[in-house]
Amino acid sequence: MKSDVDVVVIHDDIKEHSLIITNLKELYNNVKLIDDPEEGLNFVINHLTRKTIVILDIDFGNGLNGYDVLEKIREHSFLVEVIILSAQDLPGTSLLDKIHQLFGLEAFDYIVRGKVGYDDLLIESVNRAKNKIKNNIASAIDEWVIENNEDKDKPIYFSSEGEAFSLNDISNEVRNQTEIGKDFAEKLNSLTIDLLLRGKEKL
Amino acid sequence: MSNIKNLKFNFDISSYRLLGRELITDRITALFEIVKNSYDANSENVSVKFFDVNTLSNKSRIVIEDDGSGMDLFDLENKWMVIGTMSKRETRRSPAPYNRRVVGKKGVGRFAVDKLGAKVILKTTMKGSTIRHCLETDWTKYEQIESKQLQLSFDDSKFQYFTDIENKYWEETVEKKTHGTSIEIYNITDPWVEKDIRKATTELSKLISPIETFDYPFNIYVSSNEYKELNDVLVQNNSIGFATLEVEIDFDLRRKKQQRLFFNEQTNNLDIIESDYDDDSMGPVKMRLFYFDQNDKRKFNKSYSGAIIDGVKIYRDGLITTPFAEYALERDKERDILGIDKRRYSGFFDKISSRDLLGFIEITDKNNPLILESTNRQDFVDNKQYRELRTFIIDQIKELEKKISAQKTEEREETKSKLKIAHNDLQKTSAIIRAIRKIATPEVKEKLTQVTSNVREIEVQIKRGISDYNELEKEQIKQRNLFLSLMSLQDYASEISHVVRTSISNISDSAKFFTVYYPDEKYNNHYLKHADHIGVEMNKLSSAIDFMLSYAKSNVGFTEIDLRATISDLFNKTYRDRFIKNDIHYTVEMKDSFVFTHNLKFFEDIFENLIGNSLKALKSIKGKKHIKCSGNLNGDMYEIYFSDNGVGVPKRIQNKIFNIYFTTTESEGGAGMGLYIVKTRINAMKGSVELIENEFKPTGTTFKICLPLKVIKDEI
Repeated sequence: MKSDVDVVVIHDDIKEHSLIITNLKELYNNVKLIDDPEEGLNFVINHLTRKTIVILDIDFGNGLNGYDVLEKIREHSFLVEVIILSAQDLPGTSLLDKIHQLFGLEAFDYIVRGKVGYDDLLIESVNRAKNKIKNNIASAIDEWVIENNEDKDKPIYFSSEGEAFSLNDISNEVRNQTEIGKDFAEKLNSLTIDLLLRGKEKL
Repeated sequence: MSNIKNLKFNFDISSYRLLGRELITDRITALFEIVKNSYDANSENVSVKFFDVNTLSNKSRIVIEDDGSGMDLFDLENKWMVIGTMSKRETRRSPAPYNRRVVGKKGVGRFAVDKLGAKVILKTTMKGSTIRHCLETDWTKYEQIESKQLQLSFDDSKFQYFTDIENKYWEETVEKKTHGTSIEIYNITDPWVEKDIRKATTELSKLISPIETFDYPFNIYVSSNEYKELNDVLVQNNSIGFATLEVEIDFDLRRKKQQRLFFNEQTNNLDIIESDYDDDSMGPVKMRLFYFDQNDKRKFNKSYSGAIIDGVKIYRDGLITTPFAEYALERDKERDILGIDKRRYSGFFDKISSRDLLGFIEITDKNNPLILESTNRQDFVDNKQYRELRTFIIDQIKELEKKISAQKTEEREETKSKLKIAHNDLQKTSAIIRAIRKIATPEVKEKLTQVTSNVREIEVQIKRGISDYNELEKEQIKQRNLFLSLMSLQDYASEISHVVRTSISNISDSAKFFTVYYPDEKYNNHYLKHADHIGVEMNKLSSAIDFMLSYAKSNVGFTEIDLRATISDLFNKTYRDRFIKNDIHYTVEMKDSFVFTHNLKFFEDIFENLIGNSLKALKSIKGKKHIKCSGNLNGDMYEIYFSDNGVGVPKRIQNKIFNIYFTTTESEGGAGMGLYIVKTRINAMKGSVELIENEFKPTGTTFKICLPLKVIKDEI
């Protein structure tokens, strides 16, 4: 069965019919190719409630580059997995020169396009990113909602201001990485550990 | 001499000797390493003495003597006699109170000694001890074994690979005051003529900074019993005379100010200004730079035999830092640690090379704790502070370059005006002579005729001088332009390789698509596209190669180009028929003109590509089609506006149209080279090109091209 995680390819030198896109489409239901960095960025930001893997080029000419895009994505969320797929290093722009730009931006992987077997590496990397996404809290909530649809509007969390959040609400808060979302995730983790420790629950 | 006993090395002699040859390639390196060891042993004085080394005999010997901390028997057996030991240096500092940063290579001293001669007597006394440990190693005894081992076939099981090397050991009693190590070397390998020793002296001098003095002195003395003037010479790093230009900058610790160079364009002076520095910065540095032009280089070489001008080096607390401490036998093998020469590719003429420059950067442990040598001894740890230091050094050199460039221009102008003055003076003289002639006696007249003809002769010569000078200037401009285009070629070469790689990778992707997905009905459409795609990529490759070939063919033809005439000819002659055929109305309005030296083909390439693009953009336009090219002088820029009323460039791709391989006309065979060529050709002329708002409405394209008159016309 194909995966429902979205794959967004932001790259200006990859064609719709290319090997890469075809490979991805064989495994993923939603593969979207966008050749303009700005457009790609907007797409990702407008779909933060989805589970998304981004495959990102670095060099787009003179406008926004891949690092800018990654940085802007990170201003909104750390739950989107980003794999950088860039052409062979140009002199002076090798990965080593750029690596400091990647600090703190949590790129999932960096793959050099054109290297022998890079297409296989890319698929492997995307699959690993998918598993990582599957394991995060927002995804767990979504899975729950899919299986127990009647729970989706029940309030399960109250903020310190007394605001009530349903499962659906809280999932959005987590994906959008709001203060409430981050707070919830933290508390949920401590709660789980606490329950396990006191023997209240078993996994 | 008290009781003699034997200490043993046990190892394979031939590999030991081979290893040594590998590590110490020449005898100057050997001396260098031994002296560095003395420094590491907290010596304050080390002397290198040569005895009867011109013609080798059994009297020939070299003695290296220091007053360092010396070794005890334990050190001798566990450090000196252990080969390539890792334990030799666990700490990177010499013992207190010296706390010197260790500069010698690990376990290399032994090999260094063996490079100089086959028999070695090492005598060493520790501070406070009265025992002098003496060790004699005589390789001559083992030479036979070694040659056997070298000839050895490895299946020879009878052969003993490891040999006990017997070292004679004895102890002597000395006064408590003396300490240090002396190495006496006999059976000297090669004779040392005077020049060799002087060369060694020069190399040794590089260990020491000429700016900073040590907290604890470190003096190197060289002496010889054969050569005059080589009698306990204190080795000093002072071969810095004759510089054409010399600058020194310092810092003020209290006010946290770092001096730096600043070339003042108003006064043509190289000023020293101050700036602040932060605590987590590279820290304050002292720096002395010496620039040498051809003339002064010659003087330098004459006076300091063996010394070379070899760039900028970093010293810490008075001693050279390890990346610079390796003696390079061949100049080409010297590494450009600070990246001074790398810089020259991007602009050939005004840049100083490390061969015109001697520089000394003085850092200290205290002020610059974050500038660190990397453990492989080849470079510095690449951190923010080191990068800052490197930038700082390059910046100072850049300011120096500006000064030198200004100085050159000034000198040239001066020569020119002197020639003109001389010419004027002569004309005045002629006038005076003519005046005298009128009132002179016949005898005087006769003499004057002779004088007049002499003056004329000189006048002609000066005139010729002026015209030769002008010719020379022109010739230099030509050469400079040629180099400019060749230098930028390096950038293009790297870009072209990049795009060739991209194409190949695209082709191989398509090939793999077939391998993986063929046959599958649902991809029928894709197969066609991939076949197409391969064709397109092949096209791109082919035009990339054409582009490279255009360089290969174009090295010779630098000619004088009249801008207005050339552009007019292009429109009115070369492309006229094509315009008419395509029903295009064209306008050429070049207001001013100027003449410059360049490759005509390169210049025409610019317009060929612009016109080609316009033709494509005008294809689908209904109604009147226009191409317009106008130009005029604006200050020291010549501005060209090139416009059409074609379909125009969509906003979203405007910022990448000059990128190599960017194309919107792939299906028509566009390879994305056109505007890239336009850009690179114009850049090679130090000009610029940009897309501006279209002159023609509603759609169209306008490019603005700026060519600087200064660079391509009269600057050398």
